[in-house]
Amino acid sequence: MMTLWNRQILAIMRIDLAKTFFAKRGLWIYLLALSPAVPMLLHSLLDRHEGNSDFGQDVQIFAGIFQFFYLRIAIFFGCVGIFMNLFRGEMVDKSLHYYLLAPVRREVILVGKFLSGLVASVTIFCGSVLVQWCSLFCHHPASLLNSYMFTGPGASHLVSYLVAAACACVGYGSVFLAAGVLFRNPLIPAAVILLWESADGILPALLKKISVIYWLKSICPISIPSPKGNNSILNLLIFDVDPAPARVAILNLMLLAGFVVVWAAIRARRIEIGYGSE
Amino acid sequence: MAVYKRTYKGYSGPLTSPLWRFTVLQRYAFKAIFKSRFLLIGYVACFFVPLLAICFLYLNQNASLLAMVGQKPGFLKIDAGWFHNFLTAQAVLAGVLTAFVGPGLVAPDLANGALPVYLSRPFSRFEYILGKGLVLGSLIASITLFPLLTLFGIQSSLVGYQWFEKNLYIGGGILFSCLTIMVVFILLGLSMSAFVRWRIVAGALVLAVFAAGKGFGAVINGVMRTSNGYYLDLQYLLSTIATDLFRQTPEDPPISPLSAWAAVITFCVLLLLLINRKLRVCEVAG
Amino acid sequence: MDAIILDNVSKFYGEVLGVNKVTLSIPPGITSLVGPNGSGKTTLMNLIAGLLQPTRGGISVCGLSPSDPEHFFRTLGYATQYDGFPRGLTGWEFVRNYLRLFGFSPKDTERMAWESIDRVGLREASQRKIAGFSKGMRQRIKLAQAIAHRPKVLVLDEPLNGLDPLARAETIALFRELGNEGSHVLISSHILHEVDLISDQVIMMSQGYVVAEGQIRGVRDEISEQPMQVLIRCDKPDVLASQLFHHSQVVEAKVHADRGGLLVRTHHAESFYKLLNRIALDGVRIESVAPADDDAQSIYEYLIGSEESTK
Repeated sequence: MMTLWNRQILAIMRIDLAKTFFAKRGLWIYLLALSPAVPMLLHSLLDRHEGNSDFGQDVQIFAGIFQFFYLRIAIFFGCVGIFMNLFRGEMVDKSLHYYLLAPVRREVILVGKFLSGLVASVTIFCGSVLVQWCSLFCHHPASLLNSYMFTGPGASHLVSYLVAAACACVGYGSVFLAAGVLFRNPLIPAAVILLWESADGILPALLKKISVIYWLKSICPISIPSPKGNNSILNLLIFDVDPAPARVAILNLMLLAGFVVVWAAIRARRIEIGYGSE
Repeated sequence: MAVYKRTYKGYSGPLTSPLWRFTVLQRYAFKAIFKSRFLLIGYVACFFVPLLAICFLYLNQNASLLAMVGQKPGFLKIDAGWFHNFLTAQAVLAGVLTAFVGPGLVAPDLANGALPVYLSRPFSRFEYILGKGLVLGSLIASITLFPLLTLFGIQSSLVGYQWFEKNLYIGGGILFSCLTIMVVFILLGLSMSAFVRWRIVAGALVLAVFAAGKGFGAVINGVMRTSNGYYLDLQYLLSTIATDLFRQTPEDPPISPLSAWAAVITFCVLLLLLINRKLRVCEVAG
Repeated sequence: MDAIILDNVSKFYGEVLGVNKVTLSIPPGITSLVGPNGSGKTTLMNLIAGLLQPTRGGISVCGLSPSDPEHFFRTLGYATQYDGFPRGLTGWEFVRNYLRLFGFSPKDTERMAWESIDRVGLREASQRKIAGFSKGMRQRIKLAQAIAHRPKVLVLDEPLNGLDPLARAETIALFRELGNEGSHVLISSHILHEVDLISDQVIMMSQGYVVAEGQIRGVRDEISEQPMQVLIRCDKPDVLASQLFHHSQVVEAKVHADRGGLLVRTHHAESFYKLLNRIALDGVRIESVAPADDDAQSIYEYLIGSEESTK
């Protein structure tokens, strides 16, 4: 039975990966993922700085961009696009029934689709992290780069960013896949999650831990404090809590994803085809 | 001999004037929008802060009540900043409303081939866009322009004509800020739904334009050590315009109000071009 | 174990009735499901295929339940009415991808895909994108997908829609072939005279209820309130008509415009045929006698037409 399930999961992944990677409608996900690389490359080409202070600034800037733009916006919306499309997009295209008419358990369909979304998102977003890394740091002197990467913390920083990006895809991906299965209009849960994750800065310490972003921030190698705005009352509410150990954060995100995917799989058994209402 | 059965009788009742025909689209639009219980609850919730603000304005001028807590009427300053903050809060809600309502106005017509049906009537593309825009515009106005003008009127009536005369510019600021927000949000909502045709993704794109614009602008500012990234931050641009209209511009703003106006107008022109390109009756099937 | 069984099946969409209290046992052969738009045909087919879950009742197909998809969908193939296809695929890729989900080896997948595409006569067009297919080609590729894994039970929702006369004839021949092979073929259609030609039995639906089921002639015999119509070709229809009016079982007799025949309506078909034998012996030369309203069209009108007209 496992062999059959594996073959079926692979078949689903082959079908869905082609759709996710090469669909014209998914072009914006590539743009979103690679968007930070453009100014970084321009910075490398146009503003050639020398010296350790600029290098240090670039390290801080990368950490800030990763934490406040890449995780919160690029990967968040990218996962909305990729994972909600897996089920809800098929409903809109009126083609989900082809999966449901095959001799495949609904749970296997869901796992196959989740894995294909995961492979696509991890490839796109982790790939983009590498491109950004190269774009931002390539103009610095080779000796400085070598000492940062091989004798300093550079390599472990890069690995941490890659792990954080992959974990973001797992965490947000599972949540948005479930939203696509459970909700006719998954924009509603997406907007609620966006608001919740955006409000992370002002949430009480306990509630901060019920957001994906808190655990992702814990994996990031450099902690950047939440930025304060112009509103003085709101600024009083902004504070940071100590990050969790990276291993605990990864484990928690995996547990969250596992729980959400299992729940979505159970609910997928009850999916009915009703394209008229899409 | 041919026999012609003349059984068909065309409509011979009164017609809506061609000048106001675009308003026809509104007749059933609201009913369709508020069929969603979630949207109805969300829309009603948008009036929570204005109602609270009305109570606050009343209490702030109620001498007997304030005397009980040892304060004089007007102990809290109601000025342009107060109205600006209020506008900011309502504008955020208007943005969310646009993301949910805007795409539902156009995307289904395009996805289900209803646009040719509209345009095969004496109804132009311009009237279609105007009609659909008016639906969204009236909803946005009902949670931004009207509550703000009402609050301004209440404050004027409570404090007196002198306050009104001295702060007339606030009224102007409310009017022009809200109109700018309405135009931008209407064009954004309509263009995104015409662009992707899938209601849900169009809604996500509306939110993404705000979030990604802000984020990407910050990336540019951070990496390039510049403030030009603000030109991509629609929320910041609208806020800069409103700040200027409320006469609250700081001494050395990252971008001038004039530049913000120019960027917003450029943005609107781009959205109009997108609408013009996507809202067509004919298309080539791929 | 060899039948499609629906046991008191009901499906409600909120307060809207889809189908109500349907109890059926459909044997192998070609079965047609007929009824006006909104009568519940597609809902019934979606219930049989497990795309919808019944609000009440149970369904089994050859002893299998839709809740066991791994076995159920190896037995059942379904060509739906939905005109949606996965984006960007060619006809060949569409059938191959579907077969891949069965877990067949790549070689078998390829062979079975080509076989089914050949069977619907779409080999040449199969390398083109489905987005560029005509309605008829889309119908045929859906049919190819439904029969690709050689199911024992084939459910086809309006499969003849959009087909040109030649393709229609070929498709009907394919249904016959499948029926003769011992498969269940359940077809929904509005084209009643075609149903008449190809089906072994018929299920008629109206407003969510099954109003008749069984072999067409058997169903006709059950409709006692409607007089039977008999078409008689003879040389003296006026003489025959005058003789028939002497007998109480004849309700109506109409002379054909060509004056070469007579259409008679009677409540008692058997006694009428005996009467006709006697009259024939009296010198009226009768060329042929045939029932005129035991086809699906007439039964459809009797059973459903009256309900439709009362709406």
